[in-house]
Amino acid sequence: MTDSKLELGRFAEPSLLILVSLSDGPKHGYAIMTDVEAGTGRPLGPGTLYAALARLEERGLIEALDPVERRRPYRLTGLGASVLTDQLASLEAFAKLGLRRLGAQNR
Amino acid sequence: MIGLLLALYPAPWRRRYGEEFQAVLESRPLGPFDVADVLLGALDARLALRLSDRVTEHGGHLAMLRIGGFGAIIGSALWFIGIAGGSAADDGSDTAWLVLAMLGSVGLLLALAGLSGFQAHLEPRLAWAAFGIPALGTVVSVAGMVGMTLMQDEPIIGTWSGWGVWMLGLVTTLLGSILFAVATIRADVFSRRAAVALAVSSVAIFAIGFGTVGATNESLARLLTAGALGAFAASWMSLGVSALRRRPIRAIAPA
Repeated sequence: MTDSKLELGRFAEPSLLILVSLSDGPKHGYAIMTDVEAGTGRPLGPGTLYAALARLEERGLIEALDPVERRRPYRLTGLGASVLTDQLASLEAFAKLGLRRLGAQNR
Repeated sequence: MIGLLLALYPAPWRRRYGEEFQAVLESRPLGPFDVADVLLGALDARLALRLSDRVTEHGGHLAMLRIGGFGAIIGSALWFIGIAGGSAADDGSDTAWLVLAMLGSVGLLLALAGLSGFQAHLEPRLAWAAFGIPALGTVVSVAGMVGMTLMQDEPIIGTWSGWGVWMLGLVTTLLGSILFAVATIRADVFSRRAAVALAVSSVAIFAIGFGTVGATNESLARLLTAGALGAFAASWMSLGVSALRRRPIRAIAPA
């Protein structure tokens, strides 16, 4: 899949948070919201959550499971796990670069 | 309040996400942040719906998808049972099998119409050619079957007996099925593996049919033919399953 197909625009950040939330197993919408809020300290609104979920599902990064009562769990696909790994590795490298530069400046 | 917020989203979006979204909204008291976020979400969904060409195309073809999927599964099963049962019946009781095969052919015709209609926007010329040829073959096959049922071995068109007309229709159906498989592989909308299996089994029916003419080992020839016909029917079933498994998500997700 090309980068252009993965382009998530202004939903890139919430999408990343959702992918991380699903990385330890399937969750339904409300569980994702509370998990993201607990992990980042920032709320994820329901409108943003479902706009991002629709994009992630369309791009094949997550898939919907059968609903339990009215709640439908989502899980990471193989492609989603691969994309998340790449993104986190890229962020890690970027964070290390920033911290290294900060360290050099503070010496 | 929740009902009002939900009503702001476009209908296709509500059909797909409405119930679970409502469950999320009911899970906790809605604050001003949540309401503003949902309003923006509804605006985003409506903009995405307008911007995406795929919305109307896919949305309008969901019924075709279902008709095609069920037609492929039920039609291929009836077709195979009818052909296999008719071939095995040596006591002259093959009318019921022929009727079953005819019903199966009608199901396959619906499958061709539905599945071709769904993928026509991707490969218009190829998809409609891939519909037209096997559809013609299926109609000719059904005419042949009716001829066999009513006239037995008597000619029904010129010197052609019902069996001859049926064979002509079957050959046309197989050629068209190969074309349909190519269109399906190119469009990449349904299972490519099933489409390849459809093409291979269609060729195999030809090869076995011609290769076993005058064969001394009749039971082996019958077994091979039954295997190829079974693979042909199974390929259609698999295509039908992959059509029914397609989620309508593409109809509402943004480009």
